Amino acid sequence: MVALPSRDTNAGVEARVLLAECRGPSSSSYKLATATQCMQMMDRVLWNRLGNPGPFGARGAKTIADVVKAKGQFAGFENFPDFDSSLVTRIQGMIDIANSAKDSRKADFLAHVNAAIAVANQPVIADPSPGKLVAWRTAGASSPGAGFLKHITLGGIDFYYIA
Amino acid sequence: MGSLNPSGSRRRAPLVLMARWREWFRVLGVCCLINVTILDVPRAGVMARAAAENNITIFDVRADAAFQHYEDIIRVFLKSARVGKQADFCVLGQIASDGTKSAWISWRQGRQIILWDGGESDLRQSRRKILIDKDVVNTEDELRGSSYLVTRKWVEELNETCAREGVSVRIIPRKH
Repeated sequence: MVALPSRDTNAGVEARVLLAECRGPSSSSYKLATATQCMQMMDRVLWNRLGNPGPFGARGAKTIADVVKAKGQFAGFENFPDFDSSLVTRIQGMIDIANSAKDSRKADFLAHVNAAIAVANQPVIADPSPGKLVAWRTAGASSPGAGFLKHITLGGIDFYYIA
Repeated sequence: MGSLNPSGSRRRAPLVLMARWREWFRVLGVCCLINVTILDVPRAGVMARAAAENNITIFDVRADAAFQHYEDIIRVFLKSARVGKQADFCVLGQIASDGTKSAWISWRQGRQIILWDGGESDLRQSRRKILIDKDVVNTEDELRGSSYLVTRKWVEELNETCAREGVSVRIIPRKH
């Protein structure tokens, strides 16, 4: 049985954000390798924000939870450890399938959930961008504001850095 | 299908005509009994338009195997949300610069725009749901690095593009 790390740890918060935000196995053209890369970049974004939380509404942040709770930054996480009911449905739905012996999608979901847990527990990747990677947006949803430069689109998500 | 009559012209066999009528009744049945109305049917086939500012290309969800069951997905969503009133949607397929396809589904009465990743993914579990009354800001300066807030301008442009190039769906609940 797969289970997420406790929600009062950095890894626990992160795993939940990654599962909430990255494209999941039910979607069309899903690839585990792309999803994992997407998670690694999100991981980098969260830790970069923890290193410099002020510009992202999280002044004084000491933990990843403080970063994701910042107002208007990550949908459904503002009241963490409580979070939006649609996120609960999404995340729990993935874990339920991953743990279901009868579900034909089990292998894909188990690999996806395990990837999120692994990324949340492993060392953070180096910045892949010319500057600090600090934001992501749904592809096509426009820039996150002035001063953000697009680095790459991955799994339908645009990643941005600041110079 | 048909057979040649003595004058040499092609004549339709009665059974073929009956089959055609059946087909028409089936089409009418879909419209009247199931109460689905396709309000805006733009030209069929691939309709690609480069949205240069976002590196997005528009595609026709009706012509894509992973997206053509959009009505079923919307119905399941409405049923789960227990919406018993008329509901109007606009579905706009988009291809990101990495080739990833998704669709924005704008629900007028529900005042929300939901991202659908195609396949069997469920709208209730969407990774992005934009609530018009909560998640929309006036200027780009107010985004401040947000992963989900959008500007009013973006919403207006999405709705305009969807009206022009997307597919509109009206779902009217059955009367019991």
